[in-house]
Amino acid sequence: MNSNDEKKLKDSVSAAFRKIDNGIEPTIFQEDWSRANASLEYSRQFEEKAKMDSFFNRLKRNIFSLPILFIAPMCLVIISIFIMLKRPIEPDFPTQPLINNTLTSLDPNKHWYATTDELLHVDVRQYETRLVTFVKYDPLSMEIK
Amino acid sequence: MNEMTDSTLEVLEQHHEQAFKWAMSCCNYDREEAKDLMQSVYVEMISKKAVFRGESSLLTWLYTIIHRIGWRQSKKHKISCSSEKWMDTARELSGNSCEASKQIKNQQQSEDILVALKTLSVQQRQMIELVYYRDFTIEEAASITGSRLGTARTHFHRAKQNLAKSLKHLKEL
Repeated sequence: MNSNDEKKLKDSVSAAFRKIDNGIEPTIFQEDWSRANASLEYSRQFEEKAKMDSFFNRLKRNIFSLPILFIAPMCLVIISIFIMLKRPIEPDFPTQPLINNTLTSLDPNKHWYATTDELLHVDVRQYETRLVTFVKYDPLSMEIK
Repeated sequence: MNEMTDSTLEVLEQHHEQAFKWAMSCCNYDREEAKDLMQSVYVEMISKKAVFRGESSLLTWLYTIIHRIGWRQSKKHKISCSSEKWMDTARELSGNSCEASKQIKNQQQSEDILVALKTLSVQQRQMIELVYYRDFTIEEAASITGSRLGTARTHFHRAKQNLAKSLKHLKEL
């Protein structure tokens, strides 16, 4: 094929392709670009969710395949929670002896009689084990009746 | 919005129309597929999976990405690359063209060229399109289509031979 023929061929083929291209309705760059951005954002969120799902699925599979590896630490956690709950509650202020040892001198098996101010000074442990009864209290005279 | 520079975006915007037309060509002129392809191309750019390193012109780089993703997409979606389908859509688009071509004097000649192009393999047709119509060199066309230079030359040479054989009855050529 000589150069003249090749030029003619090129022109004809180019014209055919140009005609096809002219029939193509173009799209808008900004729209396509924004759509790509939105699609990327969506796929990122989707990937994060998929990662989480995959993690939990793997964990579930492992629990079923090797239960002892997960039961042992879980037992330890439960036991430590129980120990913490059983620990006596210490007041966060220094305990003081009551005025005239009113409460401490009483029989612990019987009812106590005390004002709320006095009760504030009672060791918290005593609240747990003993029954405290409030009697009539006159706030003006600050007397127990 | 993204980390691409404004100048790159401007250049992309300038080339968008041509890029979309190349995407259409890579998708056998299936408009929806081409739109998906362009979206995938831009996603790759925004997510920095495709980065322009200045090893070629930006247009060559853009065409290369479109071709590569288009090829991957066509494999994934099992898009038909039949010559018949190409011919039908190309004929339809040529018919839609409102601008009368100066080189092709009548509809019959246009039809003959389409028929001749239909006889080519996809690789040959793309080489002819890139070199003859889109004015790339054979080296650039090889880079765009991901072929070796020797293979690209062979495709181009055979495409020319086949076209010349198919169109030799046209007196106008």
